[in-house]
Amino acid sequence: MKDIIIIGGGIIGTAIAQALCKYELDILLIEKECECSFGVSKSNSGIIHTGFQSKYGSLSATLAARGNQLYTDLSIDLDFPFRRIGELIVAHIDEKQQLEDLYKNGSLIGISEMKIVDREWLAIHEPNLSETISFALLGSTAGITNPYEACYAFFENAKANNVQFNLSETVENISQLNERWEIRTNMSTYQTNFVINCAGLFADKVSQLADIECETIFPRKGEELLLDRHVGELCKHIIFPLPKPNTKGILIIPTIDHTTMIGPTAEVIDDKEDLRTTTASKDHIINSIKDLGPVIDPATIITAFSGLRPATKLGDFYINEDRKGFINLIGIQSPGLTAAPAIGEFVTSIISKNIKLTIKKTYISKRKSIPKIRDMSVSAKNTLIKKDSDFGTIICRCEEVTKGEILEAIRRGAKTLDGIKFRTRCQMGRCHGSFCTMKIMDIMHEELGIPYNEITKRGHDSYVTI
Amino acid sequence: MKLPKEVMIAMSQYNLIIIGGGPAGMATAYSASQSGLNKILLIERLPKLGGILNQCIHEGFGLHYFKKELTGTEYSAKYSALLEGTSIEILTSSFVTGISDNNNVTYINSNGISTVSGRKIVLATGCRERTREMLTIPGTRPSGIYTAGLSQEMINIYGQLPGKRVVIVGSGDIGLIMARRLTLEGSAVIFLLEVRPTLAGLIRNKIQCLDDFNIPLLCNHELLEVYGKNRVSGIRYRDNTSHQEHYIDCDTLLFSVGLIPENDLLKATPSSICNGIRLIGNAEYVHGLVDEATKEAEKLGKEIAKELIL
Ligand SMILES: Cc1cc2nc3c(=O)[nH]c(=O)nc-3n(C[C@H](O)[C@H](O)[C@H](O)COP(=O)(O)OP(=O)(O)OC[C@H]3O[C@@H](n4cnc5c(N)ncnc54)[C@H](O)[C@@H]3O)c2cc1C
Ligand SMILES: Cc1cc2nc3c(=O)[nH]c(=O)nc-3n(C[C@H](O)[C@H](O)[C@H](O)COP(=O)(O)OP(=O)(O)OC[C@H]3O[C@@H](n4cnc5c(N)ncnc54)[C@H](O)[C@@H]3O)c2cc1C
Repeated sequence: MKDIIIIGGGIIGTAIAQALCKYELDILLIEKECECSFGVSKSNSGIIHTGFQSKYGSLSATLAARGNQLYTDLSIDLDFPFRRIGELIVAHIDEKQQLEDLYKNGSLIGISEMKIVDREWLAIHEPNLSETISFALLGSTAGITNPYEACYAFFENAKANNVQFNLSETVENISQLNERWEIRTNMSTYQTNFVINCAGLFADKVSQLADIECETIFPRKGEELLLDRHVGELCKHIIFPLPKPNTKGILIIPTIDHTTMIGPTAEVIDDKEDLRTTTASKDHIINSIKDLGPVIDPATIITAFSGLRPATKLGDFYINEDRKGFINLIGIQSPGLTAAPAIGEFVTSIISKNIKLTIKKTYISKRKSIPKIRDMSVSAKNTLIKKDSDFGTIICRCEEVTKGEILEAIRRGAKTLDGIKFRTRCQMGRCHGSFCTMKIMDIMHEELGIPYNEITKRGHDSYVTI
Repeated sequence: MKLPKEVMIAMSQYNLIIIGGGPAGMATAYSASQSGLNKILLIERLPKLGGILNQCIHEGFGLHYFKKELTGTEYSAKYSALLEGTSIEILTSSFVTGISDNNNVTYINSNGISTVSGRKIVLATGCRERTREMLTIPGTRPSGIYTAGLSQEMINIYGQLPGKRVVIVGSGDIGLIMARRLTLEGSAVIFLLEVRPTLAGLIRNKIQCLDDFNIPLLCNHELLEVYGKNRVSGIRYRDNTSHQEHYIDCDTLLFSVGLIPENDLLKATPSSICNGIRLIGNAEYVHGLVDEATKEAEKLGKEIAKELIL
């Protein structure tokens, strides 16, 4: 008998687990993929928004603004990368009113550090932007993070505090038994006082399993392009056009790794697993960026990927205890990454109305990230290598990732090539794994004791060799 | 630049430092040493010298240099044997991370970080395969998409097969050689797609690796889209002569779409010393024959020795 079962191990599920793990609770998180962060949370823009693009009074505005604040301390305590670089919503000469409206909206939400800047300011601070851009709303609290590192930081901290994670397990049926819930998966059956449904794109399906009506999720595809490291950062801030009803538009995003990403598109589709990228989207992104100023050379695009936003007709997050002991989180699309820590708080407050929460004496509030040899000082590198010589063996030559880092990723739960990539950047550089894939597989083979042909890229039948 | 104390201690001075222990790096070191130069350091990131040759188990190496048809591994073994008995210092499993002012070369290995300094520095870091085409083709992003060179490492070094039904994109030499290798290992190579009107690799390789095994090469054919959720399940492609589009089932896509000299170390090197660094072998330009890379490297080694001994 569990106190709480969380369904879904994306950024939302892991953030909730992290928020709840400080209390005396018996928590189980069930995730159908073989690792956390393999759903929507693995392909997004990594932006921690200010919150002012969401409408005042909406749940997403409140939670995004609060989430944004929480990221500073969280990124320190849990040691994941986060930088407040600020964002600019840009407008043409006749569009200043729209910026003022956004500013007003932001003030109502309670967002600080906003100001409207003019052409002169832009010419100095963002010289790559088009001269046709006359004004911009600067939100200095906006930041960027590495979404998987954030998710794995939540996961590891929750695990250290005894949250149980059952991966590669799918929830198939949910029924109410008196005051309890029974959850049947493809592996086992569990009973629990509380169910938290944060199954992302499939949250509507999970709600249906419990016979609870909810908004239907209509996936909205977003395709993004990553530019070669040598292009550098095209802009210092995150650049947004004026928002449209359903999207924040095509952006210029400086990434946490000092590269540039452009996108995302917004296209409503039917299939919740359709992650195809298209030439039309690529052209659309490049053309939209041209309107902002920079001309993108298609030869500098090193990869294209897409993600699906779990959108609903409501156009806002829906978080509610729909039945006693059953909390639905539906339509957690953008700014879901931003809001995640605040969603953790919000869900905790719902739970606290039903269960008296006491803080664990053994609570561990900090987590250390996997050491990154590349970013260390010479003396720190030497100390680490002396302790463990595997940190002196480079496996990924593009990103200078060592055997020690890969082993550490495996020990922290990486089971697939993507799991290692997301945690260490190994295979993310310019050779895209052509030099290191076999060397990583060799390490996995040894450390996990599995044959080469059972190693996958991302679980299921994504085998690398046969 | 002031170096931290531990670096100062480890600092040693060389006449010549060669980065990369493939055929070009070995040959530069060997000929410089034969010409009388001492204090030569050869740094290789892998546990063994030989570079790309160590995964080439096919014949076709050394016809000019050793006057004998050798496999890549044999060539590598034969040449590295030459280094034995010379005074060349060889550091394997050591990865060079940067070149900085005063010709300082910094490397990392299981002993830590070390910096050495050389009067001359030679970059013999080889080349890498182009992958952009592999990453920006429209469609899904499943497992089963590799460069031809990676598939060569899978089979020849690790004894693993990349897949059963293979389409090769591009007609570079590695692609041609892998078409034969995969066929011999029991995989079906359906065809090679080449967007240009003619073959990219050597005619010799087309005859020996495709024609002898009845593997079709489709020139003027372009890959349009990849299908498959977790593993490649098929591709859509177009005959650019007739403009007809087709679909075919496959579980593996190999790309052999060109090689690029690997000289990224120079990108972070101060330009004042970049000019003094010599590139050789595939790091300078891509060589079809190892014999040529060896010959040029030996010439360079001799030149450097002459310059420094004077
Ligand atoms: C292109 C794009 C860009 C974005 N950019 C940003 C941004 O810059 N900033 C921002 O704040 N937000 C952004 N977002 C939104 C953000 O990514 C999402 O809001 C967030 O990732 C949602 O997380 P989640 O945990 O709800 O979903 P998911 O990560 O999908 O997690 C749900 C998990 O539930 C699991 N699951 C489903 N069904 C079951 C079942 N039956 N049994 C067990 N497990 C199950 C799934 O496998 C999945 O792992 C972006 C989204 C997209 C698509
Ligand atoms: C598949 C294939 C088939 C071929 N077939 C033939 C053939 O049939 N006949 C023929 O004559 N030639 C053939 N060649 C060509 C021949 O192999 C090359 O011309 C030759 O290997 C080039 O030598 P190199 O020393 O320049 O590069 P490489 O052999 O690539 O060596 C470069 C070395 O530098 C090391 N290195 C790189 N970066 C660092 C760093 N930062 N620190 C330390 N070390 C580093 C690498 O580990 C590597 O060992 C073939 C090549 C390939 C790839």
